[in-house]
Amino acid sequence: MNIYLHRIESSTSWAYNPFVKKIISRRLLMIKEDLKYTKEHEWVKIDGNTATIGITHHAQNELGDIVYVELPEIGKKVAQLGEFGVVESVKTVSNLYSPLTGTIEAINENLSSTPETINKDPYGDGWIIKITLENPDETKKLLDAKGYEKIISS
Amino acid sequence: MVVLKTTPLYEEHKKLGAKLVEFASFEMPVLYKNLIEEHLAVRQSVGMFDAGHMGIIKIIGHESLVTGQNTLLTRKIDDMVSGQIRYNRIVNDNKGIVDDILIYKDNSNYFAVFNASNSEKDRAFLKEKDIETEDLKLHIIAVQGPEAEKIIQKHADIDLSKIKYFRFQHGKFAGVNVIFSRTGYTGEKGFELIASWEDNPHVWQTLLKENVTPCGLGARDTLRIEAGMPLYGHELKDEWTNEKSNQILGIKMSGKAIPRQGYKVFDLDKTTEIGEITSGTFSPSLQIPIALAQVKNKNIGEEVFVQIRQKLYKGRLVKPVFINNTRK
Repeated sequence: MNIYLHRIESSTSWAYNPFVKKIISRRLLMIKEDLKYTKEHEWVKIDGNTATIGITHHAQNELGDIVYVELPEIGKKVAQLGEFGVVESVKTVSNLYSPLTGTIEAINENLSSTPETINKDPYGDGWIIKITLENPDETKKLLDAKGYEKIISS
Repeated sequence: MVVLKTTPLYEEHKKLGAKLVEFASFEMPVLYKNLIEEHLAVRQSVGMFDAGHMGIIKIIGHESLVTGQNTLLTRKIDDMVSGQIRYNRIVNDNKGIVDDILIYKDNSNYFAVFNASNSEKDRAFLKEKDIETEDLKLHIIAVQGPEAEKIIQKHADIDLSKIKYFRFQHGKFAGVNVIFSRTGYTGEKGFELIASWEDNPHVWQTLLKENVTPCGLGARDTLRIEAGMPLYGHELKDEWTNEKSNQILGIKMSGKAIPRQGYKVFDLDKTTEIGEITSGTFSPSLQIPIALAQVKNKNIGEEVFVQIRQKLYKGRLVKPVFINNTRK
């Protein structure tokens, strides 16, 4: 799904509706409304008992060109906010933290040869792992789009 | 709250939307748009760096420095001619390295360029040895790349082709006084333009109009690692003697995992620790992970293992210079 950047036209009065302004601001920041987030800038998309995990647009933008991704092995168990891998830019090594507890059921092997996919499409082709959830209730502890926006706007 | 120092180009960086970070108590641009693009601009055409945070210090007591050159420095300076520049290292009483510097001989005077992070330390050290110094209040803009000289010559009032590598001359650039120093920290040809605080923005803006790419500290670091140039705090330290620092070799990694400063280097038996990584990165020009490492008793061509997080990854020892186009 594509995210389009909306420019606020000063002559468009509806853009000044505070509710609409919030939606526009989240779109400008490339925060998807239908995902959950951690304060460590991971996003998670939940589909029944499977969760797909990646890092946000804000995170890839801060990191710069991603040149290396260290992926975990399939079958490994991860805890909520436990480390599951590493993403590196030229200058930085950044740990990846799992939004939820579960078992790794798939890893995005393409990232070994094209780590820059995370920069180009952080919410789509740039997904990093998929896990089988152990405790779906944990999603309550995650941030929604509004909560994540607060974090990156402060 | 920490108040950071700025260079004369701070407002220019803000105008360009640079990402500013703290470095050596200065607020400096780490990149403007994209580190890899800035790095490649220097290798392929021309880029410029604000190096205004580096200390440019006149050695008032240069007779004492000359007399003490065999103990205080790693290379002598008494045989330098006017217009000459020499790379040097200041040595402490334990034979450790205080800083690496460039010493300039200007008629009968000597001045030196210090690392920003060591300016105060260096001046205090020299003062203790009864060598007085004076801050010249000059600032460097480094212009580097195969196109650098052509562009600088357009605005220079002297013939730059007459200045050899590691030589300098006073002149005017775009109407203001500068020192044209044929030096750099990238492994490419180019100059470092040294000007007053007031004139720095004019020099920068003139170069911007020539479409020179502004480059930040991020690209500066990847370029200097590829060029095998040491950085104080990595390849050079207070606690390391000059001999130890000269045991630096390069490593080209066989895989994709990236070595970083401090990671351990092991022999092929995977258990004998033989050294440590001093600087590591993903090389934008070579497209592989590379490193500089302090390694004992190993030769160029031999293979080693680098410990990256909990696993060992193979690499090959190479000359500690991956790219050097300064003499091409």
